Amino acid sequence: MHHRVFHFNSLFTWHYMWAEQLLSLLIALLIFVVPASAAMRFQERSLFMNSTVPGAVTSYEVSFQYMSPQAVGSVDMLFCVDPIPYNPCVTPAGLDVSDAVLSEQLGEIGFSIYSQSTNQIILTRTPGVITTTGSSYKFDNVVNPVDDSESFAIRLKSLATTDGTGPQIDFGSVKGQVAEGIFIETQVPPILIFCLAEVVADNCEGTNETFYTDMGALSADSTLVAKSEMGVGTNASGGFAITANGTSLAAGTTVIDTIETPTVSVPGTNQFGINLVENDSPAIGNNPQGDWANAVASDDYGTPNLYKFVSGDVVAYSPNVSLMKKFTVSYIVNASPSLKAGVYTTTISYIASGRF
Amino acid sequence: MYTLKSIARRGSMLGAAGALLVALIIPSFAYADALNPLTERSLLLSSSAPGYQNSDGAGSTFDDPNAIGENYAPAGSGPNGSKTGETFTFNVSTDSTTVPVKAMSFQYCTEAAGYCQSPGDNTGDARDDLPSARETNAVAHPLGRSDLEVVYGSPVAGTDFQIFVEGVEISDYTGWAMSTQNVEDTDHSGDLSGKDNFITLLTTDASTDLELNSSDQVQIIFNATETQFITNPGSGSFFVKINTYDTDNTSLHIPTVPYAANTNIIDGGVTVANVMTDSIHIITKVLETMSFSVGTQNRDTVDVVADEGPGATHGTCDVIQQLNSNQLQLGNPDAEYSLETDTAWDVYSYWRLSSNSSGGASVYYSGNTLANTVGDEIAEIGATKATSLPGTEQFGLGFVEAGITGDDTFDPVFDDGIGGGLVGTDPRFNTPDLYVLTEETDYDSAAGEITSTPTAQFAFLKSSLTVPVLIAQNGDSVISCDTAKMRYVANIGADTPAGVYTTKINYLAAPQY
Repeated sequence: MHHRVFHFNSLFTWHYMWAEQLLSLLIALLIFVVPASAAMRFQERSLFMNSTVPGAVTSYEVSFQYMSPQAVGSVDMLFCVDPIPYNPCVTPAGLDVSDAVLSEQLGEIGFSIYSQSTNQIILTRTPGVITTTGSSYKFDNVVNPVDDSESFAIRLKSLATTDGTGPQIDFGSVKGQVAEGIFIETQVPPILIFCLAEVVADNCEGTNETFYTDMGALSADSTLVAKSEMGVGTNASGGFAITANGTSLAAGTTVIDTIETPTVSVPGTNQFGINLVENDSPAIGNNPQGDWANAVASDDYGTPNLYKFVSGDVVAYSPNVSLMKKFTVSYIVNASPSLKAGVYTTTISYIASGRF
Repeated sequence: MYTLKSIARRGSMLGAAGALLVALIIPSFAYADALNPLTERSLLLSSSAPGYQNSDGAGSTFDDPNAIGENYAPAGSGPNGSKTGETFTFNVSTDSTTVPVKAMSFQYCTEAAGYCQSPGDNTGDARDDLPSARETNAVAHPLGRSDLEVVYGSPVAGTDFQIFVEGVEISDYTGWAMSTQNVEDTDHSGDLSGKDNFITLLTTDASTDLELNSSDQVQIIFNATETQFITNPGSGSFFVKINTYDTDNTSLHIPTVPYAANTNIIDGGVTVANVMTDSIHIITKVLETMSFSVGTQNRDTVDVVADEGPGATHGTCDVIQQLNSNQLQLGNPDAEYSLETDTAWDVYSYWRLSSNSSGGASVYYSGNTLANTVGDEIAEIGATKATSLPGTEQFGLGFVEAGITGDDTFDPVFDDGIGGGLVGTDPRFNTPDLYVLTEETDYDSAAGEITSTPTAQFAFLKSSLTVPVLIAQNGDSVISCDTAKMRYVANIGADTPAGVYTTKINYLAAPQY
């Protein structure tokens, strides 16, 4: 080069110095400008849509690898139905990136959104030479297209300018597609398990099939006792409630008084009551058995040595789903010395209801 | 390749005919050695592109690598006429077992006979006593001109040039050397290029002389590198005069015009012609494609004529169909599709992906577990696959066979089970399944029993609703047509709150182009 310039000097007079300078400029342009025109296709391009639900607001992550080692000042992302760069861009129906936010960038960074519209985002930064090849840009608040019958494309190109104008450096496209999801519907049926007998097995797996008890002879000096068991469980989200229904012991028209408020057992007085816990006066009963702590005896029937019976009272309940709890019902009967002789009987029915 | 050979052979015939014509018209230019010609001559160029061209169809060159260091159109490649290699093949006529070949020369000229002018179309004449009398190729190439130029500064025998006899490379290159020079005739009426157009191969070691039988085939290959190469001329045809010698005295290799007998020539004196043409650049674009469908029915399994009417037919990769708005009922059909504590229930869906993405693709799912309107949920199985356990709350999914080895019954018209169905024998299309995508381990075992002695295994993460979970991927292949059949399982415990439970599972495909 040096030799050639010297030679030009020897050929041209000072009148032609401008021509020499112009030629030098042209050579410089050939050296520095021509390589920049060799656009290459971005490699390893992909689009990750965080949701493919048609019309959903979601995030897109666009990844690609810059190929040309030239300064990039902007990246143009144009959302169209097809990826062909020179075709008119048809915006995918429903797609909207006008409110998209650049929430994350990796690799070549320093970008911000220069401009955006329904189907175009232009990223800008101070022009810088590509130093890392693999890059990704995540946009939040993107509205998905609504047509799941065809894919859509993002036409990508990098540019030297900061405003998305001028010749492209690298280019390429990625494609994505929305898709209807699979709806799965099922039912969980209401389940209420309830068993009752003198003795019931855990989880209501069986009973002794005994539903009758002879409590013996009444006297003013002692308390007659009996017990029965019941198991209950339900998947009712509102739990269950068990009511005790019936009358007091009666012989003809003579009825032993029921205990209407929780009261201790007092031999020599007419009393009929029940509770659902372990007692020591008299010694009878068991506390509720089972893992489900939310299934409990009602307050009036849950205090040891205090008995009550009011027909229709809820004697046990759970506020929500409860699986297999076993309650032991203790019955006490006391009689005053003046109680008429006779055979006193009663039938107590228990009703378990689920609150589904 | 065949085209180049064909051109060379046709050129050889033309050259021979030309030589005969020249011999008839100008007898004084005929070589005596034509009586011992080299026969079956051919010249194969690594590139027939003009010498000023060194880029591929996309305009990429070796000197302009991309960001990851990949080069395009390197020396010796088809698009690069600037740095070419050449392969000469010919048969000798003379039995030289007693007087062996010690040297051979290759002279590039614009005519088959007579004064030699080196091929090229640069401007200027090297005869002029000026440094810039003839354009250098560096100056001329950007202007669309080029001179033939042999550039081998320090050739290595066996590497930069190779010699084959009867298809076998000589085993010993001791003494063999290659040199280049400009040999043009100043009496030629045209401009001279002044560039090296004359190659000499010789051996100074008698042990490596070539003792050739008559009709032996000799092949000489000049390999191209980025620093040692032959530059094609910019246009027109050129001829190469080949001679073999019984001496390594290079002063005896230079031809004379008018012809003077050279008793050291064994065979040769003939020319091989090759017409320089620009390459045929065919540019097309294969744009990104993607088709992803999610649904509940694989159309391949449907009797489409009965279902859609006469004329309906199957395609090679039909989209998955959406029935009932993609809604699946999971549970006992005799009990309004409710779940049971002692029986596991399952349903199936499909997705199908095709894409020309060379970097493969990844497929994810996203969705919540089954839940009712008050927030009760059937427990997810978790990230690690587990067997179905009736009586225990579970919701999971996994892959099962989508092809003919699975449970689906295909339309006999679509596939007859032996690969001879409507869509041909390509299994990618006649037996839909995952061919390229690889299932993630925790989702690959959903086939088998789910109630009695369960063997099927499933996984599911409800966190996929916000962070989609990868279930299948491939990193380096085109997805021609991959079909997946997904199986969903649900179990409940006795304490699973009653109610209607729903979920929506979305599938996401992300091809990497």
